Amino acid sequence: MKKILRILFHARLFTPKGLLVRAAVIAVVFLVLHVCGLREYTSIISGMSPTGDTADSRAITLGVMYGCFYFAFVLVAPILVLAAVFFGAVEYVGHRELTHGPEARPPHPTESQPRRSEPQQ
Amino acid sequence: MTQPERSCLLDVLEARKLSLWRRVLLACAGVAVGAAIWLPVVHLFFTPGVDDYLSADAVSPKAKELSTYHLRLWTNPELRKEEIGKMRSRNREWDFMGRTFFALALANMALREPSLKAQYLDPIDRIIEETIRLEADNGIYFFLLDYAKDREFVHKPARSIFVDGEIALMLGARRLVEEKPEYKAMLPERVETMLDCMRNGPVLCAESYPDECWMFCNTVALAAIKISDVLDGTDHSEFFREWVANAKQRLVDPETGMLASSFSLKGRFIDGPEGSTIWMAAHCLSIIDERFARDQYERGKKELAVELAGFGWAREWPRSCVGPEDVDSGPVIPVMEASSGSSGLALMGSSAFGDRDYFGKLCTSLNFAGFPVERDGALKYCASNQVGDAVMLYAMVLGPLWQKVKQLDSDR
Repeated sequence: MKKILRILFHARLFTPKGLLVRAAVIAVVFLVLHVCGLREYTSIISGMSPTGDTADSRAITLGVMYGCFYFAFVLVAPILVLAAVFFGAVEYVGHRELTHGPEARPPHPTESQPRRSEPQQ
Repeated sequence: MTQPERSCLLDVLEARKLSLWRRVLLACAGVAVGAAIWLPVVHLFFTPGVDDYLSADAVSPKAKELSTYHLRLWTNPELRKEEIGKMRSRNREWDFMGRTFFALALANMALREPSLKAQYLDPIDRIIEETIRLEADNGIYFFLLDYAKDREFVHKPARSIFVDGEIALMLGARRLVEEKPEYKAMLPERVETMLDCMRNGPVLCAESYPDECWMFCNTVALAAIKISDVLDGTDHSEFFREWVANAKQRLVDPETGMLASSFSLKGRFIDGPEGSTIWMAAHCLSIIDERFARDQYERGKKELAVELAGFGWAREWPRSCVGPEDVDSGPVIPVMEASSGSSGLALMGSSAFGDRDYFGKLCTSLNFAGFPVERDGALKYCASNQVGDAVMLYAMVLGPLWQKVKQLDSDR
């Protein structure tokens, strides 16, 4: 649990990991709300309350919460996952360039030799 | 995984080697790319097979499941008391309209499944008898909103075409499925009362509320009168012609050509055209004057229907005359201007006029934002209520009743 919380709080937002963690948080919270049966509370959309009392602020809060996390789960979380994949792919390519590209390779012994035509310093 | 590989993966996942502004830029670009990929395809996860909702001659599977929930309401007094109590605490009209739409849906289902006719007629009779008893015991105000008592009805004795029209329509629908001697005299009696009120109005419309005529209620009344004509051999075709001519001249919004939703007894507009009225009005008018009805549906669709990324919904008001959010419009989602009341009734309009494409898109939105729950073979939409579900059920099964009216009319 501690490890999970550490990952949650330490994952920086603007990183592939940060985006994935936020998508996972949305999914987990939504699934918990769903399993708890809060879908019924969305009747507040039509001005009804599952408790029968339309002024029941607890029912309204639960309904709004479920609605927000449902739309976040369906619309936002997949976008965050795709964003993480895109971000990761771009960064991976850049990382490869850095580690395997011409600049990252150790210089060939001949490359370090001064060329005949170059003026000696 | 080797240590360098692990380190490389963490470098990538945590973007360790990037500056903050580069990380922000890449994350934003990623979100833009994700949205561009996801938003156009998300509807595919909610798009239904329209055949699950509409059937040419049987009762579609979804309609069956939706009706199961409502039949439970009408066979379990405890459940019904609870559900009706919730509805009445919010809006007494919903209780009444929920009865009408459910009775109409059952009548259509009985015509679609003649072998189960008795099973459908029983709840229709229960609904009609209880509604008439409640009206007789408590008066017309029992199903009207409180403000009905603020003023007196202009026409005396006070009658509401909202109450008379829908009770008459339920009686007519029941009798179209199978004649019931107890109801034989009740329908012409209501029809005479309605005609008396309508003819007395300068624009041939009667009051639903004091000095408030609603197009929804008056077109329902017209449909009930038509049904009475084909059942009882009367002929009000001259009155229908006069009504349509008058409506075209005095009751359409000059900007959109759509019928206004409410107006005074003298025809002064109170509300302009509204989605919560036009879809039902067009449907009811289709057995009075098919061309005019279709024209109203087309205009309603042009002004109110929205289709985007595979989803469909309906606005409550045309852009030229936006009105205030109320119990008829239901909650309206800002920016998108999606009205739950208008969208629900648009399902009915699109089904009635054979617009399967728009119907399918509306169903996609319903699956997406209606929060359907299927339990023990029964379906309900959590974001809806009993009247909303009854309207959707009616949208899924309508057809045979109106077809029978047209058939009987042409046989005369």
